[in-house]
This record gives sequence, structure tokens and C-alpha cells, in this order.
Amino acid sequence: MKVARIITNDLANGPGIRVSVFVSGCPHHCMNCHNPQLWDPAVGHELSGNILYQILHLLHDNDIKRGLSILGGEPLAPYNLDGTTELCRFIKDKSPNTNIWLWTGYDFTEIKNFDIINYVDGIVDGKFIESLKTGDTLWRGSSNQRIYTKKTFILTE
Amino acid sequence: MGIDRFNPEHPYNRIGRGNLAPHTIIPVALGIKYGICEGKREKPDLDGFWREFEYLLKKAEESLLIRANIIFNQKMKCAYELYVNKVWKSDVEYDPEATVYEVLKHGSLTIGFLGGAETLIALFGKHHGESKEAADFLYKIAKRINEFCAEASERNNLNFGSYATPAENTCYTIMNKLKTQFGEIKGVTDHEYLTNSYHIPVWHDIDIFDKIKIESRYNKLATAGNISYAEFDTTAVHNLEAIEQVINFAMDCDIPYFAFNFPLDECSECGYSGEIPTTGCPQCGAPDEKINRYRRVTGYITNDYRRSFNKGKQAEVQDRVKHTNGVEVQIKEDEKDESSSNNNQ
Repeated sequence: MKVARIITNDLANGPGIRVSVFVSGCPHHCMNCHNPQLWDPAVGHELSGNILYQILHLLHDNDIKRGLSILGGEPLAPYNLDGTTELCRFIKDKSPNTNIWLWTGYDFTEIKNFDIINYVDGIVDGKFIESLKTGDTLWRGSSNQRIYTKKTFILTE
Repeated sequence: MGIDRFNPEHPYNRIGRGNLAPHTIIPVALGIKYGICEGKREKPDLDGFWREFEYLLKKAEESLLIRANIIFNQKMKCAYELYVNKVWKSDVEYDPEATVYEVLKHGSLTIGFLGGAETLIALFGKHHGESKEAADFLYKIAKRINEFCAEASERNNLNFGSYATPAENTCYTIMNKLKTQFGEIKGVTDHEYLTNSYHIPVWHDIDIFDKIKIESRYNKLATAGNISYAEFDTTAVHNLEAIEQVINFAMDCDIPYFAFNFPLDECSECGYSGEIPTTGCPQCGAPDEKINRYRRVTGYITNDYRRSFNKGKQAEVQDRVKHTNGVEVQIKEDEKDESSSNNNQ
């Protein structure tokens, strides 16, 4: 899996102050996608031990508690799934209190049996649909997308 | 307001007193004269700068004493309401023929400071958000003003305080004067306004925590009044957890007065509010003229900023960079196998 961008002290992607990791490669190709430059899975740097430790360090830099947001691209695309799972498992292992959110274009019902669900605290699901675009919904681009937090995982199962 | 030397039990009391008169020092012209910005020298002439800066401090003290003299010699009957109702806090009873000195001596005479960023760019070519050298020099200026105020308080047995000036019209008029005098100098006089006090310039793209950290150094020394602010975008304003963390961080840095700026646009046709692009309202398509844009400018939130403030402040609002979009991190390149395996262990 390749990591295209890392943004720290991000206040616009998820609750609290966050480190946002953008993975590359996306099969959905939604119309008017926010990040079409990340559709190509070859963009960016291969996920390595260096990058994992860099992310871990960023999460605690300046003694501020940050959350981790994984966006893309499609973090759960078949060629990204192992890498994303490894990233989440690594962070939860080293820093169990870090809040992890994941943005995916798949429907929650398609992914709810994946191993990665055990390591994330929030999921925003669904493709971006231009006609349902709204500026009001927090953390989402269009109103069809839904937010699942750890609590609702249990409810839906 | 700084410390009240006439109230030794509660020197930090803020109620019933205030700043009586400010005198703002704007050392931008000194920066241009002794700095590298005009290409006359390779290193700034800091000795020359300090020589003239001391002169400005003395002039500030003199001018404040003249004004204090006028203020203190007024009689209480000039403002009956104020002194009968004890709006100004004091133990003195109302006496129409007595002067107001005994009441107003608790207030302070303040030496303000404006245009720190422009001064530093003129001197060093970089401001305090970009260079440690510039940041340390600005700290020396802030410390000197603070010390001078303490000295002046002793000399005159009055309250002098150091003040971070949030100039309103001055920021525009003085900039125009500097432009006429020195012409356009890159980074110094190429914009329409002077940067407030010790603030990081509005156009500088900086992380919210770095900004708070840097400005807190100077705010501690501006005891007679200061502010720090952060520029939020519309999404971040709804991120309550993040706002709480930012406030906690500012408090840990000893910022006494912290403000958030966020854009609030309102469509006068359909009532939609949020950040509205200049192309028109996203809900009803009303044109730009129908949109009211409210912004916090020098602490005031008034009508549409494009009609309420001078040209300098309007330009300042347009130059503002959001501090909430985060910072792009340079991803560590995959190094050779040896080093990455070391890291994994």
C-alpha cells in the first residue's frame, strides 16, 4: 500500500485534532471526487516501518493527544486492505487510546466482517454522490454517507 | 492594565480601572533605516536600531506624562456621573472641586507596540514565524518595553504598562505614510496594513500550535493588554473536541486572552449561513452583493466587513490564512534496508 499524503494538526477531518493519512488508489471514481489525484495506486510512498513510526510520533508530538484519520483513495480497496489493517493494528498496539477513523467508499454492510473493524473507532461509509452534496453534514461530502462509531458497530451486528 | 502600584494588596485588580492613555511605538521606519531590506548592508545595524529605539521610548514617556497631566488636573464635577456612582473604583468621596487624580491614578499609561512583523522583515528579511533570530530579537524589544515601563513607573510614581496595540485606523494611515516615505519594499510596505503588535502576520501559513507557542512569549510581557487569535474554517468550528484541545493548549502556554475567528456569511435572500463563495449563495444562487460577510476585526464583529472597516483592515481580512487546515508532513522516504530494519526492532 502506498501513502500519498500525511497532514498533521488537521481540524477538518474527524473529531478533535488529528493526523490525516491519505492512501492512494481508488476503484470507485466518484464524479467530482475531492482527491482524483489519488485514484492511481502507484502515487506516493510504500508503507514502511519508517512511515509507521513517523505517524506514531506525529500522534503525540508537542504533548497533544491526536486522533488518526485514514482517508484516500480507498483504504479498503483489495490492494490496500492489508496495509491499512497493519497500520491500524500497529497504532492500536503502540498507543491503545488513539482514536482511529476511517473513510471508505464501500457500504458498511460490505466491510463489517473485515478484521480491521476491531481496530477502528469510527467509519464514514458510502460513495460521494454529487447530487446529494451538502455543506452542512460534518465529516461527510454527501448526505448518503453515514458515520458509524464504536457504539453503533455493536448495535448493527 | 498592568500592575497597580497604588493598590499593593491587589496589584492585579482589573475592576474599576483601565488604560488612561496609550502611546504606540511603530519601529518599522527604524527597521527600514537599519535593516537589510534596502540592500545597503548585509547585516542589520542593531546598535543603531537600539539607539533610536531608546529615544522613542523616552519620547513615549514624555508624551504620556503631558497627557497624564491634563487628565489628572480635571475636576470631579466634569463627569459627575462617573465619580458619584464610583464607576472608577476608589475610596475617595465625591467632591466637585477636587481633581480626579486620586481616583484615576489607579489607571495606567501604556506604551504600545505595532508592526513587529514588518520591522523584523525590514531588519532581517524574515519575521518571527520564519526565523529564530528574528523571534529572539522581537522578544528583546518586548522585554525592553516591559522593563522601561517598570522603570518609568518608579521614576514618576505612576502606573506605566506595556501594551500590544491592535491598531484600527492607524494600521492603514501609518502604512500609507511609510509607502510615501520609502516606496514599496517587499514584505514591509507591499501590503495595505501594519500587522498588529507581536502577531504572526496574517498571510503566513502556520500551524495553530506553533502560532500560539510563538505569540505566547510576547504576550507574557505585554501586561497592559494583549490578545492571540486563531483563524478557523467553518468545519473546524463544529469540531468541539478540537476547540477544547486548542483552548487547553493556549492556557498551558499562558495566553491570557484567546480568540477564535471564523467566517460567518449570511445570504440576505434565503438566510443560508456558512462560508459562501464569491460566486454566490450555494442554496438559492443569490449574487455576491446579497451576501453579508461578518468577520472579527480587531475584536469587533460588526456589519459586513467590506463596508465597516478601512481599506487596510479589509485587505487584512482577505489576506488571512486559516490555521486549521493542518500541515503537510514530508513523508520519510524509504531508506535503505539496514536503517528501516533498525527502526522496526
